[in-house]
Amino acid sequence: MKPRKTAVPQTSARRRRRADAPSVVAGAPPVEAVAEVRRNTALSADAFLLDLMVDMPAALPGQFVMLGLPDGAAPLLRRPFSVMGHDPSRKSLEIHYSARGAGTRVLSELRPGHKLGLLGPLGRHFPQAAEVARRPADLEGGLAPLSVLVAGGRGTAPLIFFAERARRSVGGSSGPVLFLAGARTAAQLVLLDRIHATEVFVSTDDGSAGKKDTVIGLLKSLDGQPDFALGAAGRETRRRPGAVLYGCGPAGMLRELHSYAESRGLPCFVSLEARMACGLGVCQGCAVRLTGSRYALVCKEGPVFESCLVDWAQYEGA
Amino acid sequence: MSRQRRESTTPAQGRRGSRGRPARSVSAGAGGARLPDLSVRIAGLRLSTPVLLASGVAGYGEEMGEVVDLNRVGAIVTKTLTPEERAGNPPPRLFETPAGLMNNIGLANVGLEGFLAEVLPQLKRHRTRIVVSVGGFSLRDYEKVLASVDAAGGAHAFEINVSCPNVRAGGIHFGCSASRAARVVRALRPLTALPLLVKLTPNVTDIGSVAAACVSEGADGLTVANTYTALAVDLRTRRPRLGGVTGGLSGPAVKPLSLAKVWEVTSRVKAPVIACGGISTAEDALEYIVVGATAVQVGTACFRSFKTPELIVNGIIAYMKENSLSSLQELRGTMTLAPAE
Ligand SMILES: Cc1cc2nc3c(=O)[nH]c(=O)nc-3n(C[C@H](O)[C@H](O)[C@H](O)COP(=O)(O)OP(=O)(O)OC[C@H]3O[C@@H](n4cnc5c(N)ncnc54)[C@H](O)[C@@H]3O)c2cc1C
Ligand SMILES: Cc1cc2nc3c(=O)[nH]c(=O)nc-3n(C[C@H](O)[C@H](O)[C@H](O)COP(=O)(O)O)c2cc1C
Ligand code: FES
Repeated sequence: MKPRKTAVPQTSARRRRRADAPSVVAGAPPVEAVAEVRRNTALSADAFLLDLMVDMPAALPGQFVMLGLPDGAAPLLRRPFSVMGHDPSRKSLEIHYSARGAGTRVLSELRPGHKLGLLGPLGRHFPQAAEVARRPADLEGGLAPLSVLVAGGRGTAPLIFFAERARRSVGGSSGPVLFLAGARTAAQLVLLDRIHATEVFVSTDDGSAGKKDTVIGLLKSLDGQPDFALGAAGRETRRRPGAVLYGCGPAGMLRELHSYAESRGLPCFVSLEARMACGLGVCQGCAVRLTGSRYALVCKEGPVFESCLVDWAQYEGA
Repeated sequence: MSRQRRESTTPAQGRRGSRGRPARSVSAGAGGARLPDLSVRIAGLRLSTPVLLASGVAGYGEEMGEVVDLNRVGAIVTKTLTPEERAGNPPPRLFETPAGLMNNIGLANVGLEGFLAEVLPQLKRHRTRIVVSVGGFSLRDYEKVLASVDAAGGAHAFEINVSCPNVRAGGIHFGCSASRAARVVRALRPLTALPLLVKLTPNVTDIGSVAAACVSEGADGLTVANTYTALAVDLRTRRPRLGGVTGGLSGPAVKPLSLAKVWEVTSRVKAPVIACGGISTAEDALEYIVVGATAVQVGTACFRSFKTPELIVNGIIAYMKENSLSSLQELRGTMTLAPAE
């Protein structure tokens, strides 16, 4: 089966409005705030879109927030969730979550008007492709590298935010964005209409949508048309300074993504998970193993790491 | 002996409390002419409020500045410091249980050198009191950390951690017997003029005797208590949930347990006790004070909201106003054992 290609039209009116958005200051210190549920929409049996109203400094793609349940409700600890969209001027924060355990099940029962405790924005964001170009000489032509976003399951959310920001970047300075979304089955591809990228590709394990393959299989099948190491996108013929890979998803998928990036000599950034308590880097609870037998705190030094820094034999996700 | 003493010397209890006229419960917005005095004194350590941040939940205070009004807490107890930098235990390091948190951090900390060079200068800039938690694997370790930090200046008190359940040697080893705990205090007492607190482990049969041994060697106060050794198993994989196998249990689940430990200790020694264990509301804190604690520490509840200590302070003020208490002294140790009529 041929991969489904969806070139998403970008209307110029929308583009212009977005370009006026205030520029985002990196690393705004987090705040503790009350977030009010605007909408909590079921997208499938266990996938939800949570629209919160909250006064929070601008988040960057890859950053996350800790959400705490209303007073007295179990479980005790706040839970980390990636930011899928944030518009500080509208006080609007979007989270995509899957109900998988006690905390997320309680979340799924919240109605408009319910209040949550929030801490955010937290953690390190995904660097833009232009910032990580390994061969600056190639940037001479003014072309930004290709961004290849590889999302597995609920890992789609932060990459949607990334693609959105890239699209809004001044004069498209971010370069083209390829979005690869993988899931077990078509019913789990609940965010497709929210993905705005230069091109979108889909895979499912059972072939019910897009290519019948893993998202890494999909990635491999796309490389070469264009060659990611050369980095041209779509119909482009000019060379770009390579591609930068971005990944968010299950541990196994990220491990494979890293191996692939290694084999192709591409820079690769992944968003990792760990169980968290504080979210601020104070409790030392969310450690992951890096190469060189070093630990890093996912909440502070991550969640975004360059994949070559991670000790993949030790990483199991949260 | 002191159970007796406490019963007969509780003037506040006689005036109000469970006999006939129950104390009004905590609520906001209570009126009252005088602003109650929240300050407490533990040896030479004067705290503006009786609510402290427990060791391990506030790091070294630096990340907290943005989200906590550090001036509303009586003191920060810093993450336990060991001579060498420690990377900590293998993940997973956290597991949540009903109303509780198990952790197996393994005393990950910057080490003495990093603390003196980078952390302490920052800490000195806070207005709040700094209690430095001292850890180690041998007597030498404890001595080295305490003496070096004392010499550098900036700390207002020390809390000796003889109760970490998550390291193989040292730590809890010293806290598990009265004689070993006494040896630590005996070695450290001459090394500082600052108040010396000892943080006790609840994982002992007779916490009162450990407390008494520490006090007899010159400890100025006791923190009661550290976490409870606990185990969680993943039935699917049949592996422990934590990388370090067992962990220390904290959070609301341990409050009744630590309340009993505080009772045991305050019944046994006169030295001030800082209660710690599952405190997340003003009621929790006040219950500990009624049982005899002088101050309280908030740990796990901070993870739900870093405003918790501040809310507890507000709640205590409201309670004091409603019950016309001018100082916490009037409330301390007023639990009565007589049945309500
Ligand atoms: C940086 C980061 C970003 C995340 N972004 C999203 C997101 O956008 N959408 C989403 O659905 N999920 C996201 N997660 C995962 C999400 O935090 C967990 O699914 C959630 O905490 C599970 O809580 P629960 O009470 O429902 O499940 P539990 O019953 O507690 O556990 C169910 C599963 O979730 C894992 N888990 C439990 N607590 C945590 C925790 N504190 N942190 C991480 N994993 C945990 C457990 O190991 C277990 O596998 C993210 C995690 C991290 C670390
Ligand atoms: C993540 C975490 C780290 C901790 N680290 C330390 C530590 O370094 N030294 C120490 O004395 N106690 C440490 N503790 C114990 C707490 O200070 C406190 O005694 C315990 O958690 C009980 O209080 P709580 O129920 O309010 O959390 C830690 C607790 C947690 C949850
Ligand atoms: S969650 Fe506490 S250090 Fe990361």
